[in-house]
Amino acid sequence: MPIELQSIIKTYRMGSENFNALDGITATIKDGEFIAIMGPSGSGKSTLANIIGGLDTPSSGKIFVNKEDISRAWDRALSHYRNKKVGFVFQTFNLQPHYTALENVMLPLIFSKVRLRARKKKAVACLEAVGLGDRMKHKPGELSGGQRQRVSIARSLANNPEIIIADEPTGNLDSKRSTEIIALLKKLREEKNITLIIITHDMNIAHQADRVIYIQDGKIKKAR
Amino acid sequence: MKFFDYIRMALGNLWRRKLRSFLTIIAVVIGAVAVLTLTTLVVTASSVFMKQLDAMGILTQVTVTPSNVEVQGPFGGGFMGDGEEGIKLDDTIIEKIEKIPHVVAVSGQTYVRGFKSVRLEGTEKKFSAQLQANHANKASDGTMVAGRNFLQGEKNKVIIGQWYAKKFGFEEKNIANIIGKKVIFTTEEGFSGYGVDLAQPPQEGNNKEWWEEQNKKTYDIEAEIVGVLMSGPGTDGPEIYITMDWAHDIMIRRWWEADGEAGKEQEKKGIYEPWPMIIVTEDELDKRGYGMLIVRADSTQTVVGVASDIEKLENLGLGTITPQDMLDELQKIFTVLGVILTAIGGISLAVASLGIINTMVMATYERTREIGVMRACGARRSTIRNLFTMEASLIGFLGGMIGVGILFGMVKIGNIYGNQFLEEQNIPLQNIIDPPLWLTLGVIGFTTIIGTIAGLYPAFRAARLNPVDALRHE
Repeated sequence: MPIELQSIIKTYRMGSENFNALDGITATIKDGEFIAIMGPSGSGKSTLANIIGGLDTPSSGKIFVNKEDISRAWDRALSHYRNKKVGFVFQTFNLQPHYTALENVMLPLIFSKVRLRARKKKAVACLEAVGLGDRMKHKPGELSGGQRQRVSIARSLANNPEIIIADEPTGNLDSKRSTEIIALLKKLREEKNITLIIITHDMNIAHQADRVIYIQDGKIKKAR
Repeated sequence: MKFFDYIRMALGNLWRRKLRSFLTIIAVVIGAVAVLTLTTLVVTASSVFMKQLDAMGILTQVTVTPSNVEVQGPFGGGFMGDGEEGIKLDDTIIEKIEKIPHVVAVSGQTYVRGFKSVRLEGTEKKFSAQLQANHANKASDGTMVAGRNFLQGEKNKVIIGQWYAKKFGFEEKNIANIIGKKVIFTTEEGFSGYGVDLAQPPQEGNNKEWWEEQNKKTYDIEAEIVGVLMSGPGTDGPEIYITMDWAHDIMIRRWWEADGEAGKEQEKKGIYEPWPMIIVTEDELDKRGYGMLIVRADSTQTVVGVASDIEKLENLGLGTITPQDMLDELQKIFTVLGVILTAIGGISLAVASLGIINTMVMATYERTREIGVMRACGARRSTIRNLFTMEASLIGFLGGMIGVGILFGMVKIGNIYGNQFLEEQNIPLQNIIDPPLWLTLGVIGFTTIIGTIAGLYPAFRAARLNPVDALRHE
C-alpha cells in the first residue's frame, strides 16, 4: 500500500505557545518498502509514525494511504484502518499482562469480529510464525524480553496488515535479541510483502533499510 | 466487537479485580435486598389482607339495608339494620334479589334482641351478648377456626366469634377445647320469648306487685358452642351467631291480655268477674323483617354491578354497602406505603450507584495504557465506551441477581416461621410471603439500568482518551 504524506503539520499547545512537532513533512513510501526513520529525541519521529498508523491525525496536511485521504477520517474509519491494515510494535511491547500470549495475539481479532474458533486458529498461526508455538499459554511476565517482543509482533500480524510500524522495537533488548527481532521483521516483510516502518537510533538497523528518513525539529533533514 | 465478547471481556475485567468488584456488587446487593424486602413486605401484607377478606367472602358480598338513607354516626356512615326505617326486608324481597344476574345467594341477617349477657358455664364473668342471626352462610365454612357450621334449624347452638373465645380464656392453641362447652345467656327483664312459660296471672286481688315481679324476671338460657369463627377485618368485634329459626323463637314477644270477646260474653250472661286472660303472641321478626340482607355475587368483578342493580330494584329504595369503597381506600394506603418504603430502599441503591461510578472511574485511570493498546489494535471509541458501560451494567445486574437470590432464601426461611405462626393463630393460610415475579425481574432490571447509568460517565471518559497519550501513560 503506497503512502503519500503532503505537508503534514502537527501542532501541540505547550502552555500558551504553539509548538510544531511536525512542520511540513512531505514524503512518499512505496508498497512493500522498508523505511527507517531516524532522528534525535523529540524530533517528531513517533508523531509521524502515529499519524501514518492512524493513531493520531495531523493538524494540517494530507496523508493518502492507497490514494485515500485518512487525515480527516472519522474514528470509525480510522479504527478500521488500524485494525485491518496496520500492525504496531512498541518499544515497551504493550502486552496485556493478565492475558496469555495467545489471548494477546487474539485481541485485534476480537475487534474485527472474527469468530472465537477462527480467532484462536489465526493467533496460533501468528505465534508459530514468530517461533513461539510452545509459549502460547504463558503470560508476558513469564517470558523474556525477546519473547515478549515476538508476541507483540505476532499480535501486529493477526489481521494480515499491509503496514507494520515498529517504534524502537529493539530499544529494550540486548544486541543479540535485537538482531533476531529485526531479522524476524525483515523475513515477515519479505514473505507477506508488508510495508515496514521502523523508528530507530540503531545505525545497524538503518543500514538494512531500503530508505532512511532523518527528521530534525519536525522537518525531514535528509533522506537516503 | 460482538456482544458476547463484550460480556466475556467485561466479566474478565471484573474477575481481575475480584475484591473491588465484589465490594461494589455487595453495595448493589444491599440496595436490591432493601428494595426487595420492603416491597415484598407491603405486597405480602396487602395480599394476606385480601386473601383473608376473600376467604371470609367479604369481597363478593353486598349488604342490603332497608333504606338508602345513610345514617351518619360519629364513626362515619352506617346502618343499624334493625329494620325500623324503610322497606321491610322479607322473603319476597329475597326472592326478587335472587333473580338478579350474578347473584349466588341471598340470606337474611338480623341482630337478635332479648338476651342481655352471656357467660361460660362454670364461670361467673358476664359479657354483653351481641347476637346475630343468619340464614345458612355458605362462605363462613372457610373462616371457622374450630368446630363446625350450623345444621338446618338448630336451636340452643351458637357459633362464637374469636373475641368471645379469648374472653372465655381460650387462646389460639387450646381453642378447639371450647367446642361442646355451654354458654348461659341471661335474658332481658320481662323476657317472654323462647323457653319461657308465662305464669298464670292471679285471678283476684291487687295484682300490681305480681305484674311488676313478672316484668323484672330474667331467665337463664343454655346453649352449646358448636364453632368458633375467625376474627378478621369486619368481624373484629364481639359477635355470637345463631340460626334464624332460633332467632324467630327468641324474638317472639308474648303477653297476657284480657280476652275481650270472652269478657263480653261473660257480661252478657251477667257474670261480673275479671275477664279471662289469654296469651297474645307477636313474631317480631315476621313483623319487621330482617335487619339486612347479605347478597353474594359470583365474583369480585360483578359485585359492584349487583349492588347497583339492587339499588335500582323496582324503586324500592334499598340501600347497599359494597366492599369496593373500603378496598379502594385500602389499596391507596398500601400503594402509598409501598412507594415510601421502596423509596427508602432506593436510597441505598443510589449510594451503591456512587460506588459503581467510583469503581469505574478508578478503572479508567488504571487501565489507561490498556485502553491505548486496544485503540491501537483497532478498537473504536464506541468499543471502549461499550466495554466500560458493560462492566458497570454487569455490576448492577449481578448485584440484582444476588439480591434476588438472597430474597428467595429469606422468603424460604420467613415462610417456615410464618407457617408456624399462622398455624398457631389458626389462620388457614400458608406460604404467605410470595414476592411477585414482576418485582424480582423489575429489581434486576432496575439495578442493571442503575449500573448502566452509573457507568456512562466513566465510559465516556475512557472513550475520550487520546490513544497516543494513553499509550504513553505510565
